[in-house]
Amino acid sequence: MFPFPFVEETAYAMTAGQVQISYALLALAHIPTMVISLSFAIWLYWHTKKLSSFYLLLITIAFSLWTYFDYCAWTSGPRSIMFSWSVLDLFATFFTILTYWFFYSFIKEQDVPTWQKLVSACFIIPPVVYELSSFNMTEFLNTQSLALENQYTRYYVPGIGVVFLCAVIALAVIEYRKTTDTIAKQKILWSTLATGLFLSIFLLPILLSNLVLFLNIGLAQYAYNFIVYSLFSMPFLTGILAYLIVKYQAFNIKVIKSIVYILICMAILFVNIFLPY
Amino acid sequence: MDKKGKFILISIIIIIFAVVGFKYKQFFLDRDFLFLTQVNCDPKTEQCFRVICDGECDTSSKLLFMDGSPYKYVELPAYKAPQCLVETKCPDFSCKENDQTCTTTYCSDDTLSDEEECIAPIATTTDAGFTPQ
Repeated sequence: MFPFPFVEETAYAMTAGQVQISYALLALAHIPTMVISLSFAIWLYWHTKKLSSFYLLLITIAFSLWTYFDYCAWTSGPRSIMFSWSVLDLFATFFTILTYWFFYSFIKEQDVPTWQKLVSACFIIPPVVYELSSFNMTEFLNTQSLALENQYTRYYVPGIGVVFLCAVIALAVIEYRKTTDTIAKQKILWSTLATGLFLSIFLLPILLSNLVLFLNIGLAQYAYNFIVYSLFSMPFLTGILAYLIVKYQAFNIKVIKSIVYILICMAILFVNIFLPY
Repeated sequence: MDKKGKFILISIIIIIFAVVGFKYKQFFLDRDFLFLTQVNCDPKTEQCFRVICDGECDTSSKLLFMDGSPYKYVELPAYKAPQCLVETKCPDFSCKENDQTCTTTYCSDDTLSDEEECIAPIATTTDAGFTPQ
């Protein structure tokens, strides 16, 4: 087991909780996604020093923290589960907001207007309020190794995800109509696909998990397993961005280096999806 | 990025890490949350829960009480829970007398879930299945 902070009491979770996913699969789903996306974003920012690559770096840092705490929530004891589970919404909200900022700065090549930043920043307030109050998590169910969530806060992250996904699509439509250049249009299409897939693949498993819990169809103990598939969202974002770099010289980076990253991203995606089976 | 943009971004980051620090202290250091677990129950004297098994109960299960043995629920603040209870190694745990923060839940129509059934106290029920008057 990895000697990371908050990952403790590991023997406990397997024997006392209803963990249906092996540690190997959990590690395989979490760790490579975190390492590769971070290294890609650091490499990109190092070579470009652009605002959009800076936002991408922040997205991957927030996503990596979300991934790390999600991993802790799967593999640890009560206090670690309570702590790591409680901060997941904050990081998910943060990188959802940043995804819009990245998309805006990437296709318009300028920073997001202050009023849009202010409005989007307000979306961080609800998770801050419900985490600081006793509204969300107050109890640990040792019988199932679960933190008892509030049934309403569970819908917050998918909710704002849908809002920002709509904002991305709306901005893409407006910019696509404005633009006459074919290559610029292609860039808009590919970057919309990258951010759209990133947000929707992250959100769908969470929505599915909530749906299973809401419908109470006897699969409640497996509901949280779906959320592991949210991790597959990041390879789509980095992979398509790497393709954009190769095909359209986005970020003005040398092509050869980008090809290496595309291959790495494809390898990670392949490993994540197919190797466990 | 202009000054206002930087201010907004830095504010969000500071707020997030302040909340993370707060939750770390609350949950990880102080263990300030309720802890609900199952402990052994004596069906001779108490109204106990039992897991409804499909066919036969899984006696080899590492999960406590999945073998169909009787249990009750105990809820107490996590900072008061002994480590053996956290590790489910002391199933005979019971709340101390006069401890208002520790509550024991026995089986009843109100506390029963779909996967559980109640075992009536054996002392009041004969093998023939009727309750003596």
